[in-house]
Amino acid sequence: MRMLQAKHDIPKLLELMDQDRELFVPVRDEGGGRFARWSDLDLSVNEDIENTLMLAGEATRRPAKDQLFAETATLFRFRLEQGDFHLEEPPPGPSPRVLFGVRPCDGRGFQVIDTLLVGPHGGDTAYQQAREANLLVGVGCKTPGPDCFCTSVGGDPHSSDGLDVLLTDLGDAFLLESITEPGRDWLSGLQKHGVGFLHDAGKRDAERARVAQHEARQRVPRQVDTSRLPKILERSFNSDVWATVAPACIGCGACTFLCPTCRCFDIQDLVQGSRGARVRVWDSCMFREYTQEASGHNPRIRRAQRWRNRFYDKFHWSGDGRGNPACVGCGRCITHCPSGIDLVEMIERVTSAEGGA
Amino acid sequence: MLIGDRKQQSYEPRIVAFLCNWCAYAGADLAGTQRLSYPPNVRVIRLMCSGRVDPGFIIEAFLEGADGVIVAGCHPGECHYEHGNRLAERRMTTLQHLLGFIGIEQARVRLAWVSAAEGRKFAQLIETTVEEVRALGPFQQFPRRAP
Amino acid sequence: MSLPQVLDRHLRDLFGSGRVNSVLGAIPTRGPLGMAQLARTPEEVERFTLSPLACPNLLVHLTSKEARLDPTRFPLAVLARGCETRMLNQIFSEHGLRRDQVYVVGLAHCPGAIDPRRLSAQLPVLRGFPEATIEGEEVVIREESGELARLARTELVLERCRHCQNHEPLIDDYRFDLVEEADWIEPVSVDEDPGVEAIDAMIPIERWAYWRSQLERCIRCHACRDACPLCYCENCILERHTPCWVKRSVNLPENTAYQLLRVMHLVGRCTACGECERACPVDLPLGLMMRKMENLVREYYGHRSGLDPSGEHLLSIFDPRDTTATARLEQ
Repeated sequence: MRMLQAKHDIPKLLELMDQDRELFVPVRDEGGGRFARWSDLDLSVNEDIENTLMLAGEATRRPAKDQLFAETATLFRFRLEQGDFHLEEPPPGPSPRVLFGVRPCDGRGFQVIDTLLVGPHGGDTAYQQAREANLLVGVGCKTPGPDCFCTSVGGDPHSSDGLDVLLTDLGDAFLLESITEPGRDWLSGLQKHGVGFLHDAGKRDAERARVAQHEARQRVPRQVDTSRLPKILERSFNSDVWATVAPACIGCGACTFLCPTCRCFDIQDLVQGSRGARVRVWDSCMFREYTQEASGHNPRIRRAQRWRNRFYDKFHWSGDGRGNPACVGCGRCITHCPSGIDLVEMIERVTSAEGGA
Repeated sequence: MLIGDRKQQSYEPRIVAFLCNWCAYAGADLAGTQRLSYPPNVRVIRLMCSGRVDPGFIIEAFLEGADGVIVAGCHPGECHYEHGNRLAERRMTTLQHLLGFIGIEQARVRLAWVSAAEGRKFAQLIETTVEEVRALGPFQQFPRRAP
Repeated sequence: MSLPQVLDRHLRDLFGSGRVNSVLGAIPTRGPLGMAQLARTPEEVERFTLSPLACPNLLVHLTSKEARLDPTRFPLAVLARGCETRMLNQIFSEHGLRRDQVYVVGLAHCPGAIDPRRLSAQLPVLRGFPEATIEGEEVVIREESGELARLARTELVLERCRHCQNHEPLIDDYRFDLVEEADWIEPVSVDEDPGVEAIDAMIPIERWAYWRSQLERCIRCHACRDACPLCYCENCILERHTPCWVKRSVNLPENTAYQLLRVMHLVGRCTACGECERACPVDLPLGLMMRKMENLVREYYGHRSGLDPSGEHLLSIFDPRDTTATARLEQ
């Protein structure tokens, strides 16, 4: 089912989306943009909406990840009563929501997170609940950002992987395609109420979309061959190449916290008086603390080791469960690295240093 | 100490006072033995010297729900450790300004000199601080919420 | 763009004479931001650049845990601009490093370094090792394909460069002029700092509204701390568990405590290099806090960090004439 609507009707569409499910949209802010609740925004005129929503151009600096995999999530609460600990009911899962304007790279990122947090043997309840409650409505990248390389890691500016609905920008309109069953149901529900600005799309619209998608693909600015990495990494763990990046890295977690696929966490107990909560907070393999052992030993004391770990996680140890690397090529870690470290260049360096052997 | 949302009308300020062992704490003691009355809103923490007060203590007090913080030590020149109080003075002054810069009212952090003989001054210090902090209302900027 | 011949030769000679074991400089990248590089052999010096795009503060690689794990890099020569020499002084004064461990190649007449975010805002897509040269009040940006743009220098330089009062190295063992004529940007005067003043002019509730909206955004990636060459404690209190000064939860109270503690640990030491603000991936205006405190200690105690390599730490000394803030208000 495909529907088309005039672009200036976006506010109407968003109002409609906000009816049954809570709507979250990508908004520009002083920190480069992030997802926010639609009803919290104070947008009256169309111009505001166009300037605030990040549906074209560069993606939000903070990926959609934090909407499902929160920086801090309360897993359960407990209290001490008469010398005994009592667990309290876990907080209820989120109500149905729709994340509108998810970039395809972020959508693919959720597939990587799923491999860890949605396991066949039971996963992370908080994440699973959020995953089920959220309908992911993606918007394809018409103009990819300066460091994008999604096509080199199995992605595409209009990849529908991990999304429920995908929008394609046709200049004056959007084409809406449902990808999954829930996406189809949601879209048809939307169409029932959106009489007047949602229409069935014709063959020509679909063709226009394919052309737009093809053109966007040509605009992805960076390419790198990652196909040889799995083989190369198998034998390069002890290579000298890892030390070459260490001098520049300052060991912060900007790359991992802005990454749509980084999913490491730490568990902390917060206690105040006789009450407490167990929370899950983000952690980063770039931190020294990450591998610090109680004995005082730290197996990844050097930055080169930590950097290598991140690289191996992205291109060797983990993946999206479909044969692609655990990197979706969004380029955020490159653009926002305070030290100017370029992942694409590192891929090339590793490949050329180790590829021949 | 449990933190909850406190309504303005039933608001009793909570003041944490870091007192040095040799002067301010003795001053507080004297206020007691002299049976001077002062508001019961103050929680005293005794330290050996006002110079022991790490700026982090004050930040922690606010996080844990204090509405105001007092640091009191010996008068300049009378520190048991020669000049711990003068070091406290610089730390508290800079902290007070940093807090002020992000919007924490200056009256919420107070540094005072109270000697072992100044029971009355101590009682007055508590009284003024409680009054001023009461007027400001509860500290709402960055208290930790109950987990 | 490699180094000018005379400087290149000097650095190679340093290796040759056994004076240093490594040289710390910056190399160009494909993006708008140069990257630190530690040269261990004379040949590696070849890739160094003096481009204003090479803006990261290199000193972090002298004081970091990584540097301490690797004592073989010392003695080390560092390419340092005025601001960095001031910070070096501060590090020497607090015995973070010994003077004889560092050979300072002072880069004089510094016209400022380019803020990659400001550059990207004007030129979103830069391809393949962009170059920048400062020509008077203009910055010329070139790509492999040729000249790309001429932009106003004041619009492009880092915030710290706008406030800079240290265009010349305070210490050096060798000096190299970045431009022939010292025609740097007029700094914002010592007493004027529009950003800080704007906040000073607010009432507390407005100030907090501002900082709240900023601090809520913090993702606690530690970039501000890790980018700071003066944050080199063996055990950082922001990472400690016993006691746990700052909980790992990312929320407004903990984020605020995090920044307050970080700033308090830098009061009187910070040389306002602005690296914390530059490194922040979510653009928190951290430089405002640092400059506010720098202005304050100058006003209250006549203290300027980093000017005197044998200077004492502001918060470890006192002056009999000190008064409290409250006493000042009452005066």
